[in-house]
Amino acid sequence: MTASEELSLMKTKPIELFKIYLARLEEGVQLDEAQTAKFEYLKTLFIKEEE
Amino acid sequence: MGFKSYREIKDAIQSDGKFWHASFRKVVSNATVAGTWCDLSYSPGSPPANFYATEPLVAATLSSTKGIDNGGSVSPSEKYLKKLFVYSASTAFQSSTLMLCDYVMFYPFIDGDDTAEQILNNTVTLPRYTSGDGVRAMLVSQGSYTGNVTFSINYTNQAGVSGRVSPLVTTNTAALAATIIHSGTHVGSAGPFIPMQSGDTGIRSVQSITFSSPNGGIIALVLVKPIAEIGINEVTATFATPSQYENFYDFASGNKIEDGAYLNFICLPNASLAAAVVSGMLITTWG
Repeated sequence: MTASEELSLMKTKPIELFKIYLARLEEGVQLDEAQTAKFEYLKTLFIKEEE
Repeated sequence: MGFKSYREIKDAIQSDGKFWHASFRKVVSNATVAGTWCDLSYSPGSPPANFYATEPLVAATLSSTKGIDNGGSVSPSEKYLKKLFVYSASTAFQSSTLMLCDYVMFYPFIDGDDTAEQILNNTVTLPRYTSGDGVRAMLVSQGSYTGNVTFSINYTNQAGVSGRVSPLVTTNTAALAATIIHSGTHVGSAGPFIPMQSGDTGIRSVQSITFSSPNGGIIALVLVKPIAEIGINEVTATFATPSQYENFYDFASGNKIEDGAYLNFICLPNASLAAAVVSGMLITTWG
């Protein structure tokens, strides 16, 4: 996915993108800077979702 | 309030306890390009990295506790920058310029591939410098991008006049995260800040941004108030010369720091700063 496609997914299906990033991290794949910024934002959303 | 004499400044520091020391140390995480401004708030260290990670296109602010600690709120007293001291043992930092800024507000996750007018949400307004006077805008890349396209912003100026349009500026091709994308040495570049429409002295809010062609990447539009500038002098493998800025001597009226300010640096490097370290101390005083 391009950064723009991931951005669209972040806006429409944020939890899905968050799970994609989590899976990559669990596989040992490092996120790039753009993905890190999105991941930091998604973490705040996911914490709210869990609550 | 504020200071009326050097005696009052001396008393504030020596007898009244009205001063604050804060240290900082940033490890530049990304490569940089000589002559192209970068945002050191994106780098790890102390204070921690800032990713502009809030709701896309919606105005947001940064907490002062996440930036360089400047001593908290002191109202009704007025706080000023007393001294700025920077040091680097990394030769890459030689002849670089640092600009201390108050990051007042930002709009994150602007889509660099979208050439339609992107409307920004201004439910949140400037928490400091509320008229916008002296507030400048910069575009910071939140990841890699392509660049070499023109863009403009539609904003409200310091007098509250909306519909102001910035002159067209061309983005650089540095393609690195934390880069101020309109700065550089290329044709059509601007400095660290987006130029404003003639006659304007500040930006109160930004209503939209439009790219003429796909720039690529995701970008944060950040509104800052410049506080002070300092250069890093000689740095060799065996000797580093610290740079010092003594505010009330070098700049007689003093640089005021508002309550709640999020302070951090942008940098004009003279080389790639990847893994380079800059550290120093910031001292404030109030009266």
